[in-house]
Amino acid sequence: MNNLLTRLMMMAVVLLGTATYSFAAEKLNIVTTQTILADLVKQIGQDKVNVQAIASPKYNIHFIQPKPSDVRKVSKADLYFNLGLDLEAWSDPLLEAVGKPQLFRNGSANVDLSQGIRLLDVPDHPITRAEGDIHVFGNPHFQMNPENGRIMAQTILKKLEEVDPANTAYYEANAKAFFIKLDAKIVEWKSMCAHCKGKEIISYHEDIAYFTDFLGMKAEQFLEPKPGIPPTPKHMQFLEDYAKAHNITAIVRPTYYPEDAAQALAQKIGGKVVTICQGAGEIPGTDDFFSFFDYDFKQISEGVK
Amino acid sequence: MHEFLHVMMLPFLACLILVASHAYLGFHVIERQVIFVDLALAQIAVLGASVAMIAGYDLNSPQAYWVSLAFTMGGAAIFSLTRLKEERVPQEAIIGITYVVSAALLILLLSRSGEGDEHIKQALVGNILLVGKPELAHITIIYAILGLIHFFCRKYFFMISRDTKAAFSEGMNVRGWDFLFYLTFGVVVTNSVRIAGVLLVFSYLVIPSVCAMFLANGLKNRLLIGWIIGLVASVLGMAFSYYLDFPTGASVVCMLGALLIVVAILNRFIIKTKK
Repeated sequence: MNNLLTRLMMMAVVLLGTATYSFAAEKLNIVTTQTILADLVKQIGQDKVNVQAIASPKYNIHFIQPKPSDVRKVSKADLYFNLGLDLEAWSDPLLEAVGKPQLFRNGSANVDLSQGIRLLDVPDHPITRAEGDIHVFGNPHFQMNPENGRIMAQTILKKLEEVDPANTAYYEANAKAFFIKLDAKIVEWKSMCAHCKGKEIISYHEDIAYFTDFLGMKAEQFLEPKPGIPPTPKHMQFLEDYAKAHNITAIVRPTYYPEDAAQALAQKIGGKVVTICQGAGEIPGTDDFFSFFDYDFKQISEGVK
Repeated sequence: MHEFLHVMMLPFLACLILVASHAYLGFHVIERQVIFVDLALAQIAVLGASVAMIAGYDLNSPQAYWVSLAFTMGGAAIFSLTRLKEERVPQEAIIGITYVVSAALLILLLSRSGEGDEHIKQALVGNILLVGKPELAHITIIYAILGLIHFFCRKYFFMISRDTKAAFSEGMNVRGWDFLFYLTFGVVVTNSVRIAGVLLVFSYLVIPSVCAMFLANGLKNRLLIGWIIGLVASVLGMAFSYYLDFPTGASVVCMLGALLIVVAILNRFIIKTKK
């Protein structure tokens, strides 16, 4: 009798196990390079997707060192979303280490979200890496313009419908809700930063072109145009004179660049260092697409007078 | 286990090749007391690659590779020519100076180019976790050839490493052999750093050899112990990195460090009491 009971219980456990397993298997496994992409996929896929991002937002997206768990994550992925261009330099070696051709660049499961984006800073002549711009395809930091969130969301929606047509209506409805919220938020952000329009800032690195483009701001001078190379004395003097001549009071810096050079310049010109995020979750309370932009626009609106 | 092998197989094979070559070269490095020569040569190679980049070649192009090798050859020339019969200036000082000046030169060069040094590092300093099959094949062939050179020249290399004065007084062409030695060494270091990064390359060179010095005297025993220590640290490091999800190269380095501590303690309390 006891024996039978144990058997029944075991069977129940096994059945339950298979049930939850097959339920879990129904979800699409999606890996993204960046945290904002992960949130965009989550907004549209919701309960039908498992999403994980590789790059911790605490580090510069250019210089991620993938770990064994990243190889494992990607090898289980049904889809791999990336910002594309030459932003994620570590992505191709990682995909090669995983070894699934469909995930490689241009593979059927690899989705490049730069498609359809109006790129800025595209070189107007063929250049080599030596010539002064590392980004031969154009500036790859396009996630910094919320309008581009709409285009990326559309690309994501199209791909999810393609691989999982049974849930088309579900994805469409989620996307619609996202677009409605985005439209309202864009109005809110623009009015919050209305006073920034036409103003100029000095940026730490050439990575906020899309952000300033969205707000109608200007960023033409950079504190440290080459990461790792400290600004020369002449350049610091030039920036100081330039800032004073152009009434610039804000130095914009991403969280993962050192603060000292920005702080030194801000003190000289009597201005302020504005720290902004480039990935969701970079600092507490910026975990999704909207709270991330809420934070950045609040920072810039307070930092620019 | 299957998944572990899938993720860690290529990195582990790369580690095996690195252990085999570096624990051996480490013996020479320690005997010659030129511990930081690998860092200096790696820095010179990076400088060469950057010069090629400024001349308009891609960092990973064959041209950049050859320019970088030519620079390494220059470094080998510096280290062999500065080897004097009467050591008035320590070799270690020359190595340190070479490292610092080539690093500063790199900063000067890059400040006039489009890329900062983080981009260079990204292109030239590898992550052993992501090593590819072509890279693995490349170093296997090159290191095998260099291994043959070392096998046939072993008499001279070991003589100079162990007792330079005797080598000079026997009328050997010490600078010529030194040039060949540093050249082969530079090629190994440049290729290894591209795959495994500076930290891991340095550790594979020095730590197994130091462990071996604690435990044995003869060349054969020291080599054997060095290889075993390198192998054990690699296996432990791979497992540590995989199961606890830490960066792979740094995990192996820490395992090598931990093994050195264990060996030092063993040496102090067990082996000494036997004597």
